[in-house]
Amino acid sequence: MNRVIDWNEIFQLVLTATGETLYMVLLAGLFTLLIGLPLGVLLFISRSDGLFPMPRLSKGLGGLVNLGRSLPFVVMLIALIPLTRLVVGTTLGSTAAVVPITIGAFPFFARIVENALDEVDKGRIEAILAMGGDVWHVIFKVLLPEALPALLAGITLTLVMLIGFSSMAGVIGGGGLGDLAIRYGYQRFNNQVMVATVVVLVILVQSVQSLGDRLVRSLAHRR
Amino acid sequence: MIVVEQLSKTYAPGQAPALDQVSLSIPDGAIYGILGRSGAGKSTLLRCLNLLERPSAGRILLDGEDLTALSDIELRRQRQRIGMIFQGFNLLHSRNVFDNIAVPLEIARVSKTQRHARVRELLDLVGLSDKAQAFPSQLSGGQKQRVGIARALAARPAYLLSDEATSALDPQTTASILELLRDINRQLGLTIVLITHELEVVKSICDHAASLAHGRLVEAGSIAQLLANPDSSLGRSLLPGYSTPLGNDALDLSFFDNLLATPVLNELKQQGVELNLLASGIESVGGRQVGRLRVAFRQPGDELKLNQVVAFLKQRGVRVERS
Repeated sequence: MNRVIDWNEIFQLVLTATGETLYMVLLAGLFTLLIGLPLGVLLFISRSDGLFPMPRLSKGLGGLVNLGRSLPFVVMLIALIPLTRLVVGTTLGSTAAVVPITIGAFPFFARIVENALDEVDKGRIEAILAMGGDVWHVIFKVLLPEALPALLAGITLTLVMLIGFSSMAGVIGGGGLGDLAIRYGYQRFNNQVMVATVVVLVILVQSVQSLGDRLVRSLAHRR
Repeated sequence: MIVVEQLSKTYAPGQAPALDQVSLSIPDGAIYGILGRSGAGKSTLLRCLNLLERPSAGRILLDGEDLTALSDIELRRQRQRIGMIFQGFNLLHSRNVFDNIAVPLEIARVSKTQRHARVRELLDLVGLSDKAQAFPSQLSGGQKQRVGIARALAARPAYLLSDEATSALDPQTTASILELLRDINRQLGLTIVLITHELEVVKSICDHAASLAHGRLVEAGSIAQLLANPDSSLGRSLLPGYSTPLGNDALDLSFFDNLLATPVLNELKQQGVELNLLASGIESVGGRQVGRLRVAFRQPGDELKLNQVVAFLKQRGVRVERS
């Protein structure tokens, strides 16, 4: 069965798949950030002892977030197929995969944001309130800037997780490196493609992580 | 003027109240020290003055306006008139010194050029013009508190609340921060309310003081009143003391600045009363000179004579303590 593939073809395959993976990770990452960040802020300020206590909303959102995090991603991937069809119009391809990836990731990220904000010294929040600041001042002058290193570390963590999620999208034909590994490495026993996929994934994760670490360090250095 | 009326605060039902019907009034231009041990409720009291803490009962009148009755927007506007400094400084670590001081001005929507000028002015006032670009983590404790003070003053408040602002600092730095607070009080006519557990702080800058214990007000008044009142334990504790206890026939006398030139002892001698000088000292309390003498009565056991002497001294305005 082992068809001989020349390296040029492998290169093309891996390049395309890497592009698809990056597309899924970045697009889903953007949506995760856009949904997860405000949600995390809301989770934090709506706590019963928070800045803007809304205990019912807090409990509701917390429950929803926990629900989102309790399903294994592979299960969610399949369970969300109807929703994906509704949003994107198709259930195949990288764009379609962005929907379940985002939904799998944003609850996780929201919790990270909530925890990062919780680490901000309460005295600093109080200082802003004492000078007549409102909840928006607290969010934009204290919470987000003061938690920025922790938020960046959380974004890094989330991006690495998204690379993992995007690889699983191969299960529903989402394309990308995971898809490539399943179709060539698993179904056709093509070791060259398999190895290439693994190498690219490792490089991707390492670069994201070290870039994130460097950003966090350069910020922490100043403070 | 800040008037506190029957202020009470209970954190949880069934628990002993953190504040129990505290009433006091803080006159404009005062440096008002509130003393108490940890857990006495002084921090709660201070935080009630700008409603960081909501009292369970009672009112806080700021220039006649009841803070507890204000809407959120009105309360925030009033808070801009009350600066606050903290034991832990509470500076923003994501901003440099300049931008930290600018925060209250940003909240008050002051234009950028005006902000710039005001921050420069404040940096100059607290003596940190060369540290404008530094981040809080690069500053010493004393410098951080100076930034805190500059920030608290930025929006030109009428009041300044100080929550143990010098408790985390060494004695020398404490002295320089207290000096700065006194200068500000004189130059800007700012009313300062400070809480502390250190008697020294009250001694060195306050002109009014109150003491709290177990959430209750023990005594309150101007330093002059407290010192003049022989029953005031706060007044007594503000006076320089001696470590050895007072003997049977000995008296501790305190002369205030208006008496320092009065020859009271000489007059006693002319009446045939002889006193042995055991110890003496002079100290300044709240900007007043206080002379302290410990004297021994030369005719031991003569209770009647001793009583006459005490009465004479009290009548002349000398504060007398006897065993």
